[in-house]
Amino acid sequence: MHFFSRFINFVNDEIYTMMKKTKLFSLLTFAGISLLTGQSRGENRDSLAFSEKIMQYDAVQLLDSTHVQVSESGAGTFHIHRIIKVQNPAAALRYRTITYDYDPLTAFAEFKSITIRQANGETRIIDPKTTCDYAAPARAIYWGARQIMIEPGRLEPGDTIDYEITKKGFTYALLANTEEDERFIPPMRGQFYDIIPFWSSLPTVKKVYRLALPKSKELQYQFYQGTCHTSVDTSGNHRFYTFKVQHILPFEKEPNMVDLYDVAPKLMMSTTPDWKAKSRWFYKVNEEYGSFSPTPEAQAKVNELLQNIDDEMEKISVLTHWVADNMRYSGISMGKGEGYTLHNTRMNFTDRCGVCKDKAALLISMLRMAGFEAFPAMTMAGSRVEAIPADHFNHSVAVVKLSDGTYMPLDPTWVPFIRELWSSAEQQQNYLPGLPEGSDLLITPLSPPENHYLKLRISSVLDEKGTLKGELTLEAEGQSDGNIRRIFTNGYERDWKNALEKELLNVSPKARLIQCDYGKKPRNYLLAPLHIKMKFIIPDYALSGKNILAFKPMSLNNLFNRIRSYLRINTSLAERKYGFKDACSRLILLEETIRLPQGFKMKQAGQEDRIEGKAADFYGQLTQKGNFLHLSHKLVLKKRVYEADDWQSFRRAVNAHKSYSEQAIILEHN
Amino acid sequence: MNKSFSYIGFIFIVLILFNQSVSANPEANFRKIRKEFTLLPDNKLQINYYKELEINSLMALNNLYGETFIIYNPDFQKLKINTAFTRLANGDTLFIPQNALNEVLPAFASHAPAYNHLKEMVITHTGLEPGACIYLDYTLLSDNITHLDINEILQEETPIQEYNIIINITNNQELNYKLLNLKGKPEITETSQGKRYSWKFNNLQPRTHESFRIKNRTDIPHFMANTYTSIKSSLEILRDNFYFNKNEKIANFTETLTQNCQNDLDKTFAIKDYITQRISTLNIPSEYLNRKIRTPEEVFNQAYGTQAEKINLFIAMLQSVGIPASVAVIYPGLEKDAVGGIQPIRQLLVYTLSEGIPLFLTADGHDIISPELRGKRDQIYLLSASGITPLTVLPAAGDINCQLNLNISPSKANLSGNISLSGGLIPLRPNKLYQEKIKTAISIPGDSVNIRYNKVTPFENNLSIESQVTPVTNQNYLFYSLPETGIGVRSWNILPLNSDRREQLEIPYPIRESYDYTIQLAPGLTLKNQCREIRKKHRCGSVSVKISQQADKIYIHRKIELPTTIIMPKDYKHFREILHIWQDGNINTLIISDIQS
Repeated sequence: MHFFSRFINFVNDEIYTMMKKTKLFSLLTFAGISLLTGQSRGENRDSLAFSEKIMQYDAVQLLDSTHVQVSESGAGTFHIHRIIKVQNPAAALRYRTITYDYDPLTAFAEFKSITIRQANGETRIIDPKTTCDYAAPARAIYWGARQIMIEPGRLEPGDTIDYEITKKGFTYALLANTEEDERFIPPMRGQFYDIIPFWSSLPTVKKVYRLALPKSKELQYQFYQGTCHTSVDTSGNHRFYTFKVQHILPFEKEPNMVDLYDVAPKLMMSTTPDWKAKSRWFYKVNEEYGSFSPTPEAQAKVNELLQNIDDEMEKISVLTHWVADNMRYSGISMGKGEGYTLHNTRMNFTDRCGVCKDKAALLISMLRMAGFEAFPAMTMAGSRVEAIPADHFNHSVAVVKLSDGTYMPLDPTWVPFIRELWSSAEQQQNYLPGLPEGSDLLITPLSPPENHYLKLRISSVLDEKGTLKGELTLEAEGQSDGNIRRIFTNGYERDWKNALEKELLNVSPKARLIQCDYGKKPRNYLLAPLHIKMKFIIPDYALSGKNILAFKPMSLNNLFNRIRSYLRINTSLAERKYGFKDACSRLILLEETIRLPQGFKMKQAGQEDRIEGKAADFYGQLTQKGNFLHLSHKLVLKKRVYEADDWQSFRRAVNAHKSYSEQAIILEHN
Repeated sequence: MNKSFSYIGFIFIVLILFNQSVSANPEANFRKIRKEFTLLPDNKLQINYYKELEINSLMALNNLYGETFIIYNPDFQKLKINTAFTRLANGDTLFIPQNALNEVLPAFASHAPAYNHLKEMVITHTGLEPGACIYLDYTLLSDNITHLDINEILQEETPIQEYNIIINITNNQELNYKLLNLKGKPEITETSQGKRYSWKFNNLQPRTHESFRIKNRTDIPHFMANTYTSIKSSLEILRDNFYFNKNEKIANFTETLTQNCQNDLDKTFAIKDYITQRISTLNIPSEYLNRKIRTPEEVFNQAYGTQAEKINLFIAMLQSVGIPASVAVIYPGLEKDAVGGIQPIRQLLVYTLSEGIPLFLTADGHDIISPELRGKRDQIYLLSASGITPLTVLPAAGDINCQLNLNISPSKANLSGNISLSGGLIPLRPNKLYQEKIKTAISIPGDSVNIRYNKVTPFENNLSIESQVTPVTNQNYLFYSLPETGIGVRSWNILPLNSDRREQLEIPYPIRESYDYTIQLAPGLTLKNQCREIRKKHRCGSVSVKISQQADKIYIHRKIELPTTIIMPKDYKHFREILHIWQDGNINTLIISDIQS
């Protein structure tokens, strides 16, 4: 370890020296260092190429080093060392302060040193005592999260910031020779895990992660989606694992791609033997705390809600939606145990607010009061969970045991005012139930597109002046229902009519909403899928000339685009390297019939498409029959998370659908 | 008698229906808000706030009123929560627990060690459900406050049944106040300390979410009051917080920064670029700092500042290279009985002259509509070491005049012509940068755009342009969108507008915009647009458009005039119609048939 520190210091000094000089000199010095460190010619070429590329970035990370020492209890100490070189004014502003987040309930953090090596050769040392330590800005979660901040102040391009942070807390070893502080011991006592991204938004010369683990602990680890230099050695009672990567360039992203955790290099490690062990622990910690103990008030509410309801699914639905809608997302702290312990029923029911785990807890408690077996579960919204049980979770949900013995996931955080019990915005998502017998990692299934249909029927008349008058009917279900229903559930009642009118105005600023019917209580989403009827008139909708009219079908002309998330996926990309995401699987059904003015005929030939593929289908037709123009579309988008090789199928279908609105329909009068 | 009862009943029913349509089942309802301001001896100000807020819907508890946020500065303020509880739907009382009071750093003070001590108290209202009522009472006590300075908008997202404002001042003070869109004289009573002014306002409507609302908020319930003896006295207090003395370090730095600049205008913009690109902006309202600012040297060394601090540094740098500059204070332009104060100030800018041309410059890089185009909507004062002076700007209106020629063939459209701009639509820049700015602003479409700058002055520009565009073809028709400049009415993105409107609408500036197109079609091409002429004139503006054809030449004339910047709700329908005519595709898009059709 001592030698390693010296080696790092040597490399750092060389790097500083190099970076102070001109670009050419930098390149030459880089080459020189490569020779000094015994790099091969190939590696030298890589170094030169790397140093050329990094010049275009705002800043370069010369070193990103993390050393962790873990004790028998699982508590650990982190030593973080970063060296960043500022290359332009934007970076100079970005790094005028350095902040670091920590949770005081479970961790302690401090700046150990900070040195600025200026481009003009001078050195400034910032006293760590000038660190600010304060409650971080917050919204929605008020658990007392803190930040430490230190101020390099005004920087110039060419300056280098060298700072070190020590942190102790969950999974972090204590500093030597101090008593263990109970709060730093992780909740799964004796266990350690970590998830380390090996990608960076900054070009990084060298990234190192080094772990010192008691020999008594078996570590599982894997480096995903890339390669790194790994070494394991033993000294005394510890085993040392070192992971190194050099010359990291910022990851080249694609629009709408999956999370970087799914595709970019990362290291995952855990001493927990398997997911079942984690599952059992999660079950136990909350049962021991009493997260789900009933209270008379909550029981009375359950009885009231379930009065005269016998059906199993209806009971589950009523309770899930009640918690989703009536317990708002706003987290206040329970004190010790916050972050991984689900608040108890008394706190949840009284406060009527909490974060995801607390909403899940109240639902579990109410389900149990209703006679169900229900348990908490952890999940990762947004990216994949790997086989290594490294606790890669950011969300908590619930599972209920059905009468057939199967477990059904429920998410009261993501389904307020949504006609689902598990949000299909989370389909194809890993989750881990906390069961007494333990559970392996599970995944939520695909939700069929027909569960999220949008049906738009428009019947209208176009006159020879270009005025369009008609009626539209919109029906939606699932996530599509929830999206449009937000006009009512999240919007002010006094704004509803204007909001619906705005949807027509997006088609044409001259549109007028003559009448609309969205039912008496559109906020009552459980009654039925959304059904809206609108009567409209749009003067000058079609461009009109001598014996010619030109217009786009209304159903394809910015109408209710808020729901058409697939339109926000860039289909101009010919190829994709990575998976990509839409908001949800979806079925779009459009039927539009326009009665044309007498004597007008569509100039273009009709269009018909039939495309079927792994990821998406499209059936489309545009014809004129007599005096009527018919447009019929069926677009079937089969997934939420797609693989890279789904791209061509998806792209073909969506582009075919979009092609009907790329050019106006021309009507000529003979 | 029966007839009277019928009549009264009818009126009663109409009133109920009217109220219902206005309130439309509010998601929540402020039963009462009370704000009491007490100026105490030894320069202390005590503000007591009380609210009773009824929750009527899940929307309100989930999206609107779950928390109350109170920002304060412990350097000179103390906050005391007197009471906070929820009356549940069943009548029970739930006092909020201690863990529902959390202090965090206000987000606008992030990355600012000098302001790291600011606090935001987050009060989480527990027990919320439809039918519950929030009760909150707190007191904020501030030190070192010499004057009362109030600027309150009396509007919330949901209706307010009763809003009380109470002001207590001592005998040796006078209260100036102004009510906008509020009726009611105060009840004035004598107290042992001095005087008590009390207002009660009932049934205040919730705010709208309409676009293009009045920037100065002079059309909504707005309460202003202070104890300054004059506008000037309040500005003196503001000015005294600025540093106008020369600083050697800043002077030396600025000398180096501007050493290659050719003239004062170059220097001004070199300094502006430094201020905007090298010093982060903090948007901390000055009331939380008791108007205090750090020195220009501190701001320079730490590379961040509030708006006022950046302006101070900007001025210090300008003055160090011999360019006089002042702080420009922008107030809402109230026609009569303006009460001044510091709270009502909408914006601070840097004011300087460059070769006799007034420049109003921001310190945060954002573009502004020039004070000339804002005209009488704003009132400006200049603060400098030598004094405080009101500044009268010459109101201007945007004027865009284009004479354009188009030669259209099946494969291309050649555009040439002349563009005249006046009114200061394009903010001044140094030299070549100004030409770039003009080119970007007018955004003539097409490939290989050539612009000849015939006349370039801050208030007038005359350009000759040429470009080439490929028209859109569809079924042997050509569709060509008539070009417009990128700084006219269309650039406001004001459409689409809903058909109804409750509040006044404000356009960025008065404008007159006209285009005369002379179009020559290649042989075999025929214009399919109908010849037509549309005119509309109203007190809020006018528009005229005309398509005519003589032999093989087509003439299109479009003109819009919007002389009034504030559109009243009763004129809104006409204003909207004017815009619809202006942006009518039937005039703006040429449909041309090809020889093959």
